[in-house]
Amino acid sequence: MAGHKIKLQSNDGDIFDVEVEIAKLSITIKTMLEDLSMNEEEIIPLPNINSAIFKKVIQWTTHHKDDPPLPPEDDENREKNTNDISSWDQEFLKVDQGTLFELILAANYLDIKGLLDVTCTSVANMIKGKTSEEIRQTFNIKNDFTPQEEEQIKKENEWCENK
Amino acid sequence: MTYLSKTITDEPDWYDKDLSDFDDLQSSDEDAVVEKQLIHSKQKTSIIENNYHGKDYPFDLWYLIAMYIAPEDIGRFALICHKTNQIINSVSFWISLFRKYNKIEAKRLTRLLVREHLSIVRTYVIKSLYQTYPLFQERFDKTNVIQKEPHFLLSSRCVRIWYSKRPTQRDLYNYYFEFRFDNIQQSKQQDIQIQAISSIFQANNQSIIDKDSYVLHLISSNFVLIGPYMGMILSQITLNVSSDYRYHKLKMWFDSSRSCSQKSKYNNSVVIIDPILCLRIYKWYNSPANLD
Repeated sequence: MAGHKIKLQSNDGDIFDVEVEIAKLSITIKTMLEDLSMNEEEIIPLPNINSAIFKKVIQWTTHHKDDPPLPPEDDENREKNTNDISSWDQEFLKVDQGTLFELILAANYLDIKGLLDVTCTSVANMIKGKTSEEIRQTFNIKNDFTPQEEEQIKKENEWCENK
Repeated sequence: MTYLSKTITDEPDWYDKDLSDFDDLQSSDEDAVVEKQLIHSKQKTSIIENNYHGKDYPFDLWYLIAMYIAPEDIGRFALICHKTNQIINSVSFWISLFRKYNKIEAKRLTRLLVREHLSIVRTYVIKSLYQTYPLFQERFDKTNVIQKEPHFLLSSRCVRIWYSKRPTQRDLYNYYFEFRFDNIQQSKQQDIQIQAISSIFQANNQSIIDKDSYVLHLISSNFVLIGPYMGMILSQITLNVSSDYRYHKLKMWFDSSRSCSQKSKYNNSVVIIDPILCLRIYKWYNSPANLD
């Protein structure tokens, strides 16, 4: 089976030949191939991912293809596995915020838990130690709160501040 | 008129026409729409929308990120935008946090918690974080005799006083004073009422403190009868060395209003607790499960 390729089409029309074993790191694609009995000649459309992001996903899955499988969805294990980001992943995630966020959505759509873990952890780490204004600046988000709303939210969440 | 008649006569009758002679107006319209959509999808393949003021990230994205936010960063996350605040105010977020940081209790209680009101789930999970999450536990220094200086409570109103004997061999007594500042806009009283009737809080013997209150907890080896100072203002407070010079002594003056603080030094509305073996101040989230 190794070396066999399938065709995957991004939402902007580009077709990618990807090794089956690498593509199967995505539970979504694995399910399509196995449950829907799709043959390898058929082009599998990925309507939620553009070619630039899909290239990044293939790059990540190719690097991690020999990783031991992650334990099943269990928050107990998640904490352990997501605290550290490997140096390769850190390099891989040196992208602009837009790309990083699109990678999260792609990892979620394709159901690639390892990629979802590193991308979300990376964003969660960006939030650490920053003020809300700094976070908004980092992600280029408009402040849509009124000063009263902001004050109210601060008050509601004073329990997590170190006072 | 001639032109019209000519065109009508030149054109064969519909039954003489081949199928291909008909213009399929509808299908050509559809083709155009599909083509337009293709062009549009080529141009806009990103789910993230850019607008004049900045980026608008979808709700799903924030929800995925929220699952990885550390408890100490929840306030920051909520303050990013309305969408993040909405996620923080969802039962599923708190249940997920509970499962992540309090695995044993989560296995036992999740089924019950998911049926509860958001304010109950939120309060319960936050309180449980203060008992299990290492960073929050470190904030609460249990080794210090005086855990926090009580002077900031000055000018607050005493709303509740209760005491109990500690279940220890040595005769020790707990004194609890609940204080609240009048100028703070009170939190939704409804939340407190909902929590009070919640089976989760009752079954797990959890004390409920008002979100705006502070509870001063004192442990002393002496039993002192305390007058009915509920509703009175704390006009003066001193924390000195105890009579035996080994511990601390706390003296609190209470007044019916803020304006007569000078007078209070000479009246009898004074509480003296001596010696104080331990002084702690709790908020609703870091109070022990049981305050009896």
